[in-house]
Amino acid sequence: MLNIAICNDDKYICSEIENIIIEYAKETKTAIETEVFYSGEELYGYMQKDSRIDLIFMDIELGSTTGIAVSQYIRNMLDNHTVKIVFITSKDGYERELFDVQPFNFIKKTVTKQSVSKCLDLLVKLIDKNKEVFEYSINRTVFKEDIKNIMYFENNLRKVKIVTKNGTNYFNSTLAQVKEKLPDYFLEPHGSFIVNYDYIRQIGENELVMVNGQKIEISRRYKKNIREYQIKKAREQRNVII
Amino acid sequence: MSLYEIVFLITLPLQTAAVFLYNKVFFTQRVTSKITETVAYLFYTAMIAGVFLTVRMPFGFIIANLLGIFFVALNYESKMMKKIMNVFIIYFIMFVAETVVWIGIGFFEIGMFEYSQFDSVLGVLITRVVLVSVAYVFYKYANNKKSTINLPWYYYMAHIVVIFGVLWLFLLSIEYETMSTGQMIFCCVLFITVIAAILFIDNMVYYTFAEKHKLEIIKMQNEAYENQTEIINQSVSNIRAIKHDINNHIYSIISMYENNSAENAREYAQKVIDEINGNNNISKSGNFIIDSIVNFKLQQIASSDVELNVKINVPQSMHIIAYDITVVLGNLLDNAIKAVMETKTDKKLSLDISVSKGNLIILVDNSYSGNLIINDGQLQSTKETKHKHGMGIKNIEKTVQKYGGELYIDYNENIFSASAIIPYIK
Repeated sequence: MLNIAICNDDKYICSEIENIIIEYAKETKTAIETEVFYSGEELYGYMQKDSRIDLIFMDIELGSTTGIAVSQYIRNMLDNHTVKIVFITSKDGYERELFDVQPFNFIKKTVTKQSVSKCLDLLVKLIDKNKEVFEYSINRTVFKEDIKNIMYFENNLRKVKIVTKNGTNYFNSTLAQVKEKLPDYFLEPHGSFIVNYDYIRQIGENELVMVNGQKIEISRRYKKNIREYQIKKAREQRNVII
Repeated sequence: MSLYEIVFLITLPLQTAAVFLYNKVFFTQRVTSKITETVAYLFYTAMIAGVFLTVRMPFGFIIANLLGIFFVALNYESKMMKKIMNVFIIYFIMFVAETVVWIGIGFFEIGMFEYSQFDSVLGVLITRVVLVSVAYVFYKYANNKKSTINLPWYYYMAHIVVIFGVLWLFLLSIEYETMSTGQMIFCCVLFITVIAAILFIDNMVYYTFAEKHKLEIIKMQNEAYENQTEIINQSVSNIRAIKHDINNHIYSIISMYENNSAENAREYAQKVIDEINGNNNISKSGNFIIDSIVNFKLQQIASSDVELNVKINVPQSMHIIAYDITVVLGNLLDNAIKAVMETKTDKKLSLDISVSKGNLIILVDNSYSGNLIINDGQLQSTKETKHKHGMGIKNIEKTVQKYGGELYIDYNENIFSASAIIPYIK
């Protein structure tokens, strides 16, 4: 079940998008639930209580709070780095802050079925419903962690350290074993790390910066893989594959 | 003190300077203050001098040098392993330089060295000068690699020729045993002065290159501004033309409306609006440089039979200088346009510029006529301008790598893809 949110003060556009999503769900036989919000405050209030939203179609030129401000709130105040944000805009030219919230994609007004479907296609590809929870055991006690909350894994002497939004833990395993249970978007920048792509704020030349400011070195061996993954993602986003 | 000892101590700073230059090459960041760094180098000098004046055993020198170089390396940021490795590398280079000098002297059979009172003096002098010159060449070379200034090979050749030419002339000039100590000292001082002058002149030459390069950048930026101005002018002319015709347009719209063809009127009005807004511009991202280059390059094929697909989502400014964006984007588009124009049917060109986690990503795909020649890993086209085409890719790579980015090229029978990824946040 995909959870989509539409945040736009223009009721017409909201229903347009909702209709496209319903059509898409029918055509692709995907279960999608949509929530509509006419203001940034409404959306924000909802997300404070419920964090199941997978993707938000966010209008940039929202009423009193702009789409960028709402997105920043969601990322920084709610510490939610996994919800995908698609910006809908009529303007050309974006401020730099807009890219800090890691937008998933951009759609120009007027919204077309193709542009919305493209985003949904990409979302479906990304979410592997079989790998939503990560299990590990310490002394016969099984721990479960939402993959959405996991920031990274690190090799720590003979154990694996798991760092999530809520805390840290150590368990017996190898990174190789852990990697098998993780979806594609967990990357290895270094022999001792496996990182959740969504929690990376910046990928530099020799190190990456996580959303909490932590820096992880990118070793030369893995640099190429990281780059190629970024390019692969960029290629997937394109409107047209020629 | 003997002459040898005096010369040894006077030229010791040259050795320290050599170590300093090597450290600049190997390490990037100084972690202590400038004062601490200077004290460390003074300490190194004093240590060597100390060993020289007291123990004076080869073994003592080796240990003093290794310890001294390591101690100095503590001033810089790097892993311990790298520091230790660098100590040995630096010492090894110094050792090789010294050995080459001694062998060289022996090889050329400069007679006086066999039985002259000056041989050790000359030996130590020449060794030190060669040491610091080699270090300097290393330093300049390493610096050059980091910048985009392309120093031609004859620049380095000239250096080697001049330095060793002077060295050789100097050695020739002191063939005669009959020189007094004073004359000898004078010759040595002259020799050192000449070398210093050469290195100073080199610095001036290097800066000339740098200035020339800066001018080229400014020229490129001006061209980019000119292009954008041209586009603005075009827009202004369009508006003027429309204003001039607006009466006719309005009459046409009114008559369409009166004839109950409201839809035609609407379409007509929309066309007029589009023309005014310059919605025909291909790139409207708001990023001045990118819009400028993309519009300029792609305008020529916008009205042709090429299927053009452009998607650009970038911030209005990034930490990449205009010149570099021009080089990368300009070259990529030039290559793509040339290739597409050569295709007979099914001409397609797609440009996608986006931003991801502090990286600028440029994707260019185009159809091509299927004749690619790969020469030494450099792509070359089928056209006569093979040489130029190969250089284009090299330029892109060099620029992109300057920021720590990468260029990837891929192709199948019909489509050629270039992907550039450039980190832009420092």
